[in-house]
Amino acid sequence: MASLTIAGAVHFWLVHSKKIVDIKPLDRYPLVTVVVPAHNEEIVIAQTTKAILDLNYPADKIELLIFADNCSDQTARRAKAVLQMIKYKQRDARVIVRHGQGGKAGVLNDALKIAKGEYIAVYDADAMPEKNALYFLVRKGLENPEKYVAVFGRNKTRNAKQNFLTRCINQEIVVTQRIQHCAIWHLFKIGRIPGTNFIIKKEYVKSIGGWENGALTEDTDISFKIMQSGKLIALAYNSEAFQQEPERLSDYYYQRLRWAKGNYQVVLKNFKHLFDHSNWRVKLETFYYSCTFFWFNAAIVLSDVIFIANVVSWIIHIFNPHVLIPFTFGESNILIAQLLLFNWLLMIILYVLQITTASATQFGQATNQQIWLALASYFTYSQLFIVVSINAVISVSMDKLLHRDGTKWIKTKRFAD
Amino acid sequence: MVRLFFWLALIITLIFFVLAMIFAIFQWIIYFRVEYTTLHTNRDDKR
Repeated sequence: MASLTIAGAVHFWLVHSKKIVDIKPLDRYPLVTVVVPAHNEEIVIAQTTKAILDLNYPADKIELLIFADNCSDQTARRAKAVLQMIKYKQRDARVIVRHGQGGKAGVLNDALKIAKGEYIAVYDADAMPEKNALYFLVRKGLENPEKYVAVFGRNKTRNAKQNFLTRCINQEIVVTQRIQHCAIWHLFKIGRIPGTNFIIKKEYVKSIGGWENGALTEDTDISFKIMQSGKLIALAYNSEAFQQEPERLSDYYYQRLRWAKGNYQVVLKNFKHLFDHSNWRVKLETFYYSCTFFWFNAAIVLSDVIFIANVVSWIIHIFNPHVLIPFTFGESNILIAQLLLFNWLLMIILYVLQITTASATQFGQATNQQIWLALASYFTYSQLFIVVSINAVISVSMDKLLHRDGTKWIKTKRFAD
Repeated sequence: MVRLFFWLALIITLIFFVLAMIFAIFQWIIYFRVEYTTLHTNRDDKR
């Protein structure tokens, strides 16, 4: 799967690296309701609000709904302060103070009831869209309005240079969006709603019953529903938004635990579609998610267990020669050991190669620092996912066994930047 | 059995090695195309 993904991405970028980005007027500008779900986002809400109101899109074709959802801080007040500025006073924008359930999905469902737009655009409170972000999303959607019921862009890390963790997260996001998303769209016309910086047709969402209230990853859930219905989620690869990522390990852990749990829940929910008459894209995505979240993780854990067992036994063997190294092919099979070691190096090279390829797709990003960071992250940052994944599996299993509410989650901390 | 595993591992390794070489070459092609496209676009904009 990884080789297929890299191959697809390479072909995509060989084609698109020669294209010049142009901003031509659209034939029409559909009314877009921009929804910003915000739960205790007082630190970032003002910047995001301004960025949305400054979008390169006709002002009379944007309706902005900022939901201060169950906030215990000044989110609503700060958002209202921006809307009161002379520059934005005449805009169709309002702040809605919400006290309800369902989390982000609940907010989006509430927005669905009152939205006037033909499309609903979603931006997280910390995701500042680039000036032309919405333009690119709408332009892509208008290419095939019947089939493209949703369009998604990409997200960049605005606090990438803060520390080692944010640098690694940024690299991961760049690879995910410039390799994985581009590849699966290019090869299979499969898209994945990323939770922010996307648009979706309002009438279509209504027809499928809206978002699933309380879902940990409502974006993955609705992506599967869209594919199941035979419609497509198109990629507008030039649409960008800048979002904050966790700067502390604990915040990172809880964020990724929520994502992993949510994705496990969606995969388990859709697993049956591997064996029924579902849309082939659903089958492929379920297979892809299963490979990543189950088989790949199991293989990594097994590989680490073998590695640690052998290293520990080897160290003990130095002091006590009677202790044998458990997982070997025998002393005469040195060739196999060398071959496996070479394989291990090759996997590291492929890991670095996908990062350098992703970096090369954007001017000025392909630097030596990215290579060193990639090597460092292979042995550190990448290993974090094993811990997250194991805990997510245990948590999802315990939720089912003990009938716990698996939708409770800890909010990611924001920073002033 | 071990011999079978060895040959299987060798074939898979060679495939991945060739793929890595191909990807490395294409990565450089993409890099130079992006540089060329961006720099020439900037030059045209300045004119």
